[in-house]
Amino acid sequence: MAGKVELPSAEIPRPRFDALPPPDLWSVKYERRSDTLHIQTTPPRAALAVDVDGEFWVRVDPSNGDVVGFEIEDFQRAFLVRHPDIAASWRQARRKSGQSPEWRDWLATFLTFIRRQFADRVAGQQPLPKPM
Amino acid sequence: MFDKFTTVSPHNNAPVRCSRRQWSGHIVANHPEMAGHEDAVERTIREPLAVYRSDVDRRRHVFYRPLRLPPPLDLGYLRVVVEYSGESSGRLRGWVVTAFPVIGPKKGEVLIWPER
Repeated sequence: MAGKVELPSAEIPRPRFDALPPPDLWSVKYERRSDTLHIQTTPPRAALAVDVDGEFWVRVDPSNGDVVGFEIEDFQRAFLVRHPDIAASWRQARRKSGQSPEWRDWLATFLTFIRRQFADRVAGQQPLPKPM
Repeated sequence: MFDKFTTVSPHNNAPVRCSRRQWSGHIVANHPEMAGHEDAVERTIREPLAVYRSDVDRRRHVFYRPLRLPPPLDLGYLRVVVEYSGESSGRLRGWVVTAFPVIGPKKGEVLIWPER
Protein backbone atom coordinates (compact mmCIF):
# COMPACT_ATOMS: atom_id res chain seq x y z
CA MET A 1 0.00 0.00 0.00
CA ALA A 2 2.81 2.42 0.77
CA GLY A 3 4.11 4.51 -2.12
CA LYS A 4 7.63 4.38 -3.38
CA VAL A 5 10.17 6.08 -1.16
CA GLU A 6 12.06 8.71 -3.12
CA LEU A 7 12.25 12.10 -1.42
CA PRO A 8 14.67 12.54 1.44
CA SER A 9 13.63 14.54 4.46
CA ALA A 10 15.15 17.97 4.79
CA GLU A 11 18.18 18.27 7.01
CA ILE A 12 18.32 20.93 9.68
CA PRO A 13 20.47 21.35 12.79
CA ARG A 14 19.69 18.82 15.51
CA PRO A 15 17.24 20.27 18.05
CA ARG A 16 19.14 21.59 21.06
CA PHE A 17 17.35 19.80 23.88
CA ASP A 18 20.33 20.58 26.09
CA ALA A 19 19.65 24.33 25.86
CA LEU A 20 15.92 24.65 26.53
CA PRO A 21 14.83 28.03 27.94
CA PRO A 22 13.65 28.00 31.59
CA PRO A 23 9.97 27.31 32.37
CA ASP A 24 9.03 30.97 32.91
CA LEU A 25 9.78 31.73 29.25
CA TRP A 26 7.21 29.25 27.91
CA SER A 27 3.47 29.45 27.44
CA VAL A 28 1.08 26.50 27.47
CA LYS A 29 -2.22 26.22 25.62
CA TYR A 30 -4.46 23.18 25.34
CA GLU A 31 -7.04 23.04 22.53
CA ARG A 32 -9.83 20.65 23.44
CA ARG A 33 -11.44 20.43 19.99
CA SER A 34 -8.27 19.18 18.32
CA ASP A 35 -6.85 17.56 21.51
CA THR A 36 -3.56 19.38 20.93
CA LEU A 37 -1.16 20.83 23.49
CA HIS A 38 0.95 23.78 22.41
CA ILE A 39 4.02 24.76 24.40
CA GLN A 40 5.82 27.77 22.97
CA THR A 41 8.43 30.27 23.87
CA THR A 42 6.93 33.74 24.14
CA PRO A 43 6.32 35.40 21.80
CA PRO A 44 5.83 32.50 19.32
CA ARG A 45 8.66 32.20 16.79
CA ALA A 46 8.64 30.92 13.23
CA ALA A 47 9.91 27.36 13.04
CA LEU A 48 10.02 24.04 11.25
CA ALA A 49 8.55 21.05 13.08
CA VAL A 50 10.53 17.85 13.59
CA ASP A 51 8.82 14.59 14.52
CA VAL A 52 10.17 13.00 17.68
CA ASP A 53 9.61 9.28 17.30
CA GLY A 54 5.90 9.74 16.56
CA GLU A 55 5.35 11.17 20.06
CA PHE A 56 5.19 14.90 19.39
CA TRP A 57 6.53 17.69 17.22
CA VAL A 58 9.41 19.83 18.35
CA ARG A 59 9.46 23.26 16.74
CA VAL A 60 12.98 24.21 15.76
CA ASP A 61 14.62 27.37 14.46
CA PRO A 62 16.38 25.83 11.45
CA SER A 63 19.12 28.44 11.48
CA ASN A 64 20.59 27.28 14.79
CA GLY A 65 18.64 24.34 16.21
CA ASP A 66 17.00 26.35 19.00
CA VAL A 67 13.89 24.61 20.34
CA VAL A 68 11.08 27.20 20.27
CA GLY A 69 8.07 24.99 20.93
CA PHE A 70 6.40 21.62 21.26
CA GLU A 71 3.14 20.48 19.72
CA ILE A 72 1.54 17.31 21.02
CA GLU A 73 -1.34 15.94 18.96
CA ASP A 74 -3.84 13.51 20.50
CA PHE A 75 -2.55 14.78 23.82
CA GLN A 76 -5.18 13.43 26.21
CA ARG A 77 -6.32 10.37 24.31
CA ALA A 78 -2.86 9.06 23.41
CA PHE A 79 0.16 10.92 24.85
CA LEU A 80 -1.03 11.05 28.48
CA VAL A 81 -2.13 7.44 28.27
CA ARG A 82 1.39 6.45 27.26
CA HIS A 83 3.01 8.67 29.90
CA PRO A 84 1.01 8.46 33.13
CA ASP A 85 3.75 10.16 35.13
CA ILE A 86 3.07 13.35 33.15
CA ALA A 87 -0.69 12.79 33.30
CA ALA A 88 -0.93 13.04 37.09
CA SER A 89 0.76 16.43 37.30
CA TRP A 90 -1.19 17.62 34.25
CA ARG A 91 -4.51 16.93 35.95
CA GLN A 92 -3.38 18.97 38.96
CA ALA A 93 -2.18 21.91 36.88
CA ARG A 94 -5.34 22.04 34.74
CA ARG A 95 -7.41 22.99 37.78
CA LYS A 96 -5.35 26.17 38.21
CA SER A 97 -4.82 29.33 36.20
CA GLY A 98 -2.12 29.54 33.57
CA GLN A 99 0.19 31.62 35.77
CA SER A 100 -0.07 29.52 38.91
CA PRO A 101 2.87 27.73 40.57
CA GLU A 102 1.22 24.44 39.59
CA TRP A 103 1.60 25.34 35.91
CA ARG A 104 5.24 26.31 36.32
CA ASP A 105 5.84 23.07 38.20
CA TRP A 106 4.16 21.08 35.46
CA LEU A 107 6.20 22.85 32.79
CA ALA A 108 9.40 22.15 34.68
CA THR A 109 8.37 18.50 35.00
CA PHE A 110 7.52 18.33 31.31
CA LEU A 111 10.78 19.92 30.15
CA THR A 112 12.82 17.61 32.37
CA PHE A 113 10.83 14.66 31.05
CA ILE A 114 11.50 15.76 27.48
CA ARG A 115 15.24 16.09 28.07
CA ARG A 116 15.50 12.70 29.73
CA GLN A 117 13.22 10.69 27.50
CA PHE A 118 13.47 12.15 24.04
CA ALA A 119 16.72 14.02 23.50
CA ASP A 120 18.16 11.01 21.66
CA ARG A 121 14.94 10.03 19.89
CA VAL A 122 14.63 12.64 17.17
CA ALA A 123 13.52 10.25 14.47
CA GLY A 124 15.15 9.85 11.12
CA GLN A 125 11.88 10.88 9.47
CA GLN A 126 10.33 8.59 6.91
CA PRO A 127 10.69 10.01 3.41
CA LEU A 128 7.69 11.09 1.38
CA PRO A 129 6.76 9.37 -1.87
CA LYS A 130 7.94 10.53 -5.27
CA PRO A 131 6.01 13.50 -6.71
CA MET A 132 3.31 12.46 -9.18
CA MET B 1 -18.77 33.94 4.82
CA PHE B 2 -17.16 32.37 7.87
CA ASP B 3 -14.67 30.34 5.87
CA LYS B 4 -11.12 31.31 5.06
CA PHE B 5 -11.39 28.92 2.13
CA THR B 6 -13.18 25.81 0.91
CA THR B 7 -11.74 23.20 -1.43
CA VAL B 8 -12.04 19.53 -2.35
CA SER B 9 -9.65 16.75 -1.40
CA PRO B 10 -8.89 14.62 -4.47
CA HIS B 11 -8.46 11.19 -2.88
CA ASN B 12 -12.04 11.05 -1.57
CA ASN B 13 -13.68 13.92 -3.48
CA ALA B 14 -14.96 15.47 -0.24
CA PRO B 15 -15.44 19.19 0.44
CA VAL B 16 -13.02 20.62 3.00
CA ARG B 17 -13.43 23.94 4.78
CA CYS B 18 -11.10 26.08 6.85
CA SER B 19 -12.92 28.56 9.05
CA ARG B 20 -11.56 32.04 9.66
CA ARG B 21 -11.61 31.26 13.35
CA GLN B 22 -9.49 28.14 12.93
CA TRP B 23 -7.12 29.97 10.62
CA SER B 24 -6.42 32.97 12.83
CA GLY B 25 -7.14 31.50 16.25
CA HIS B 26 -5.26 28.26 15.86
CA ILE B 27 -3.10 27.95 12.77
CA VAL B 28 -1.48 31.39 12.62
CA ALA B 29 -1.64 31.98 16.39
CA ASN B 30 0.42 28.86 17.04
CA HIS B 31 2.46 28.88 13.84
CA PRO B 32 3.38 32.47 12.95
CA GLU B 33 5.31 31.28 9.90
CA MET B 34 1.93 30.40 8.30
CA ALA B 35 0.67 33.99 8.14
CA GLY B 36 -0.26 34.81 4.56
CA HIS B 37 0.07 31.22 3.34
CA GLU B 38 -3.59 30.18 3.25
CA ASP B 39 -3.29 29.62 -0.50
CA ALA B 40 -0.54 27.07 0.15
CA VAL B 41 -2.76 25.25 2.64
CA GLU B 42 -5.63 25.14 0.18
CA ARG B 43 -3.31 23.89 -2.58
CA THR B 44 -1.82 21.22 -0.33
CA ILE B 45 -5.31 19.78 0.18
CA ARG B 46 -6.28 20.13 -3.46
CA GLU B 47 -2.99 18.91 -4.97
CA PRO B 48 -1.15 16.91 -2.31
CA LEU B 49 2.10 15.08 -2.81
CA ALA B 50 0.86 12.42 -0.42
CA VAL B 51 -2.01 11.78 1.99
CA TYR B 52 -1.56 9.80 5.19
CA ARG B 53 -4.01 8.62 7.83
CA SER B 54 -3.47 9.32 11.51
CA ASP B 55 -2.54 6.22 13.48
CA VAL B 56 -4.67 7.46 16.41
CA ASP B 57 -7.78 8.87 14.71
CA ARG B 58 -8.94 7.27 11.46
CA ARG B 59 -11.08 10.33 10.69
CA ARG B 60 -7.96 12.46 10.34
CA HIS B 61 -6.10 12.55 7.05
CA VAL B 62 -2.76 14.31 6.75
CA PHE B 63 -1.77 16.09 3.54
CA TYR B 64 1.82 16.89 2.54
CA ARG B 65 3.23 19.08 -0.20
CA PRO B 66 6.61 20.80 -0.59
CA LEU B 67 6.47 24.31 0.83
CA ARG B 68 8.85 27.13 0.10
CA LEU B 69 9.09 29.76 2.80
CA PRO B 70 11.68 32.52 3.10
CA PRO B 71 15.08 31.35 4.47
CA PRO B 72 15.83 29.80 6.91
CA LEU B 73 12.40 28.16 6.63
CA ASP B 74 12.89 27.21 2.98
CA LEU B 75 13.03 23.48 3.66
CA GLY B 76 10.59 20.68 4.07
CA TYR B 77 6.88 20.32 3.52
CA LEU B 78 3.58 21.82 4.51
CA ARG B 79 1.57 19.42 6.68
CA VAL B 80 -2.21 19.89 6.78
CA VAL B 81 -4.45 17.81 9.04
CA VAL B 82 -8.10 17.43 7.96
CA GLU B 83 -10.77 15.72 10.04
CA TYR B 84 -13.67 14.14 8.15
CA SER B 85 -17.19 13.39 9.28
CA GLY B 86 -20.40 12.18 7.69
CA GLU B 87 -19.03 8.97 6.21
CA SER B 88 -21.91 6.87 7.52
CA SER B 89 -24.49 9.21 6.01
CA GLY B 90 -22.74 9.37 2.66
CA ARG B 91 -22.09 13.10 3.05
CA LEU B 92 -18.37 13.10 3.76
CA ARG B 93 -16.91 16.51 4.56
CA GLY B 94 -13.78 17.76 6.28
CA TRP B 95 -12.45 20.66 8.32
CA VAL B 96 -8.86 21.83 8.65
CA VAL B 97 -7.52 20.99 12.11
CA THR B 98 -4.03 22.42 11.71
CA ALA B 99 -1.31 23.30 9.21
CA PHE B 100 2.40 23.90 9.73
CA PRO B 101 5.76 23.27 8.03
CA VAL B 102 7.64 20.08 8.84
CA ILE B 103 10.78 18.34 7.62
CA GLY B 104 8.94 15.06 6.97
CA PRO B 105 5.88 12.98 7.90
CA LYS B 106 5.14 11.75 11.40
CA LYS B 107 6.19 8.27 12.43
CA GLY B 108 3.18 5.95 12.52
CA GLU B 109 1.09 7.75 9.93
CA VAL B 110 -0.17 5.39 7.23
CA LEU B 111 0.14 6.33 3.56
CA ILE B 112 -3.30 6.11 1.89
CA TRP B 113 -2.73 8.13 -1.28
CA PRO B 114 -1.35 7.78 -3.85
CA GLU B 115 -2.15 4.07 -3.85
CA ARG B 116 0.31 1.81 -5.51
